[in-house]
Amino acid sequence: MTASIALPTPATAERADGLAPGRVFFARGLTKIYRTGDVAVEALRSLDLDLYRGELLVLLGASGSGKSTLLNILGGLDTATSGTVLFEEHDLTRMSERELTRYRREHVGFVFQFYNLIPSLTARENVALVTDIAEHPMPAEDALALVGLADRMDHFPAQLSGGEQQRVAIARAVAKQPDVLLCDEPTGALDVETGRMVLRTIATVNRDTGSATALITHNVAIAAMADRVLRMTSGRISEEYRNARRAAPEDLSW
Amino acid sequence: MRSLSRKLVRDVWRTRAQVASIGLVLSGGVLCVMAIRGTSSSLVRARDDYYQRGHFADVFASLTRAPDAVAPRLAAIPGVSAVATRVMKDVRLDVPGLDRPATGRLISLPRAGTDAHINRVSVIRGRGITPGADDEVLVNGRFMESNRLALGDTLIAVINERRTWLLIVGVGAAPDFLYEEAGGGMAVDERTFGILWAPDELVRDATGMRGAFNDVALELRPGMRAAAVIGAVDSLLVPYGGRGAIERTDQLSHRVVQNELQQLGVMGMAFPAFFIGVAAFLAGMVLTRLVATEREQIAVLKAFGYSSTTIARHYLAYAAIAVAFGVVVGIVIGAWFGRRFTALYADILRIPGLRFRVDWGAMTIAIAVLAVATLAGAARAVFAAARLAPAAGMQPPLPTRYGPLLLDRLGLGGKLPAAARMVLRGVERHPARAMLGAAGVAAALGLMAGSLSLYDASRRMIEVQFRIGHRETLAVALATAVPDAARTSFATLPGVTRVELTRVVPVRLHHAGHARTLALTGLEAGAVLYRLVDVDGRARAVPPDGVVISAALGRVLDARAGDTLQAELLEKDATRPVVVVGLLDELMSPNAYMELGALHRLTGDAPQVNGVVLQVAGAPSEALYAKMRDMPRVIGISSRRAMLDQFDRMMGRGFRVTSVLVVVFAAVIAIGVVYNGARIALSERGRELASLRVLGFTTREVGVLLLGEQGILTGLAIPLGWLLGWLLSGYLAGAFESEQYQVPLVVRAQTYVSGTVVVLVASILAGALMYRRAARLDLVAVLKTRE
Repeated sequence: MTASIALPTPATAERADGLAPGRVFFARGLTKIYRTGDVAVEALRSLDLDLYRGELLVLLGASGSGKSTLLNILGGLDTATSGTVLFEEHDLTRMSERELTRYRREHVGFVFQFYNLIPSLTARENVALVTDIAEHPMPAEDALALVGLADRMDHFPAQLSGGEQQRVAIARAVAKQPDVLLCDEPTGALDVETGRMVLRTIATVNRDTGSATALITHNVAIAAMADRVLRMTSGRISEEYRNARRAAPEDLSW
Repeated sequence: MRSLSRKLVRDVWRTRAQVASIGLVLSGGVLCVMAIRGTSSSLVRARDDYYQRGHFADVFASLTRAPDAVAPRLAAIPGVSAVATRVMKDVRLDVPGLDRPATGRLISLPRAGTDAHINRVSVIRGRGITPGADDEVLVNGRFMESNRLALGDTLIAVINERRTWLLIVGVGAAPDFLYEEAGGGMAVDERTFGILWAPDELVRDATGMRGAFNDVALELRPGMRAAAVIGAVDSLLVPYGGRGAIERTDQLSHRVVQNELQQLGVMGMAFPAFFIGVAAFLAGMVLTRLVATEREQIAVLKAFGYSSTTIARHYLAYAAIAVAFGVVVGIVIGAWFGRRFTALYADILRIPGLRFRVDWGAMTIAIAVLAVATLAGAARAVFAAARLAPAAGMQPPLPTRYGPLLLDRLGLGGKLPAAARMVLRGVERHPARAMLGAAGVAAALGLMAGSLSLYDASRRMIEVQFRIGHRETLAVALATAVPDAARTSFATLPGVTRVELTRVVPVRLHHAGHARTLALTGLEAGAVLYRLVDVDGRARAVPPDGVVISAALGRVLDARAGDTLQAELLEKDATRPVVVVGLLDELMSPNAYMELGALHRLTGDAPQVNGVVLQVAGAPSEALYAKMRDMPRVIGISSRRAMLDQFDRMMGRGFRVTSVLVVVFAAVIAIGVVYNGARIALSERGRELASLRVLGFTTREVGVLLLGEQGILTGLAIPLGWLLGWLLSGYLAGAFESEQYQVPLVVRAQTYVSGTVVVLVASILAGALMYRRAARLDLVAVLKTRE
């Protein structure tokens, strides 16, 4: 949905450029500097990025390359030191903490490496946690059916395998019908077989819901399933290419 | 510094709020022992010192009049080592600045040269009586202070209808007047009762007691029991109007001191026990969590070769630091409160040399118990740390298995939102911790409601005694019995709207081999100003015949309604039977009541009275007091209003000190429990809550999840706290009960409400602190780590 709250709007010059059709993210000159004591670490160095509706983008990079920082800024978990990020017509860099919370709540779906499920809630309830507060959610049951867990809905996380837990996390992320789906190493804690199943789920969701999807991984093999691949090195995009054809996750191997 | 010690110091510093909260709860226990036990042992020590220095007598007897020659015969009673005779007489006093006449208890000092050291009067301020002076007196401190009298002021005493000028030269004290009031009642009109120690000559001359005495105190040989002597004393004094000898335990001043000590003793045990329990629980809770978060560190330390003992010692030292902090704080604040408490008591009990001293013996025991209990509370966590195998410690702990809610199993949970489920499952998952947490907060509330209910009970006692039982404006004491025709002379006084007559006769009641010496009170049938009233405040009419006795007295005498008592009339040397027609369950005992006419028939006297109670329209006028000053037999007038005001003042001061203490510690306990509970919830569930923030939950929604559990526990704790308060109140009432007092179990709604408010405010405060922390959760960091 488009936010009805008074989110800050970008300057006119940027708007002309930023509102290209189907463009969800428009980032220019993104810089992020972490300071710990006397040490300043430049995690992002003047990075530019666009992401389009329905697109599946894979971000490749070694640890410390800045890919998680980028994802966190896109997801409204962190703010850039300088530069601009527009989500549709809204400038994330100028949002308050409260507005960022609202942004995450209404537009963003997250999938994490360690699932981050609530152990005291069943699969269905974990998804309901999000649908309770979303504006136009799909029923929690549908979201779980989408990830192939229709028959495991009343299980607690401790009763589910790692792959099942990650699929619950995906269901939780997509149940709100987000504009953006951000996945940070979703297969990092899984074996190959389970990882493929999770990737298939992500691909299905991306296709069926049309959410702009960004997936972080250090696993080069996964890049084949993307529409577009960005390789990050030392806070910059060092390589960008398009796959002529998205590989099916089942065909991936690593 | 060894590195493990450095870790300890940093751990303590990092978790200083938790360490401090355990310490502060403990300090409450230390403080109670310090202040309450300190006050009580200071009282005991000052009293015992003073009893010894002042040679407090073992047996006391008052009589009508005996020649001095009787004294050697008393001294000859086996077991008696010394005898002191004196003249004691209540006289009317005109006090500068006091509208109403006061009663002065004139007591003769031993003649110069006699060796009567018993109940020795000491001079607290000013000087002693000049030898040979016949107009100098020593006056008790409370009377001096309440009437703002100064050394050098003059009192006018009406002694045998003669006005005598008495010069105040000093403030006196004596072991038999540590408590210096006429009755042992809860409320006294302190301005209208004074003790005047005067030269022997003056008192004997003025009272017509030359060569005679009417009061005697005996000292017994070591190991001699008073009961063995009392019979001999009584039979010797009977011809002289002896009113029955009593031993120390029945002596008014001593009895009041004993009652106060009994109450202090109860509080000195009950309150520290409360604090110890809560502190042990908190220590256990905090340490369990600390060990859980440090599993990996413990495993690494063990892998490096640290022994289990070293690890255990490390975590025990953590608890020990909290204990040490609590002990220091408790001692510092306790010393201050101890001085305040002792000062409060010094105002009621005039014991020369009374000052606050720490009871280090009790403190040592208390600190040892506190330390052991707290460390025992921490023991489970410490053992868990010591037992942890290095390899197991490197692994994350097994995920907690959750099951369906009890509510779900009962089929009631269908409509619950997911957030509510999280909170409820959290409570269900750690039922023991939840219950203990609720119990901790309930303890805070119970502590406050229970201890403040003592004031409710006191107010209730005053209410029953002085608003239902006694409703007179003024109570007039008469020097000698007057015919009941005196009613007319009082009825015609200006402003007087009602007159009721009373008569008090000293008796010793015998039944079934038991005996008690007391005042038998005669009341008018149909009295409305002075009525019999039971513990529940129900007034009862005095029956036309027979005697009504306190239920407590009935138990002592093993007497029930219908039984016949033998009433030994102590002023007459006669014993007559009287039937018990009723038992009165009353607040203050022991008492016996008869209808005035029946009392006259029992004593065989013509109708006569020695007390009058008056109802006056409006405030008593100067003209009324002037008229009564002209009535020679009036020896004192006490005002019920002044009694109540005095009571309110005393209670007010005690209440302020106590309530500050109780409120502070109820808050400390509640904050300690809620803060630690929420702090631990945050550390256990920080990751979960951060995930929710990432998913778009607002700070407020996450705060509700975090504090919901504490909210539920506080909600459970409140009714539980009311119950605990009621139980504590009941326990204290029971423990305070003596043969003389019955403390009603009363907790006013106001007391529950104020306790609830304090606990709620404290919980909200603790919650707010945690809420601020929750608002600053690091959202990014939490996603990167495995739990």
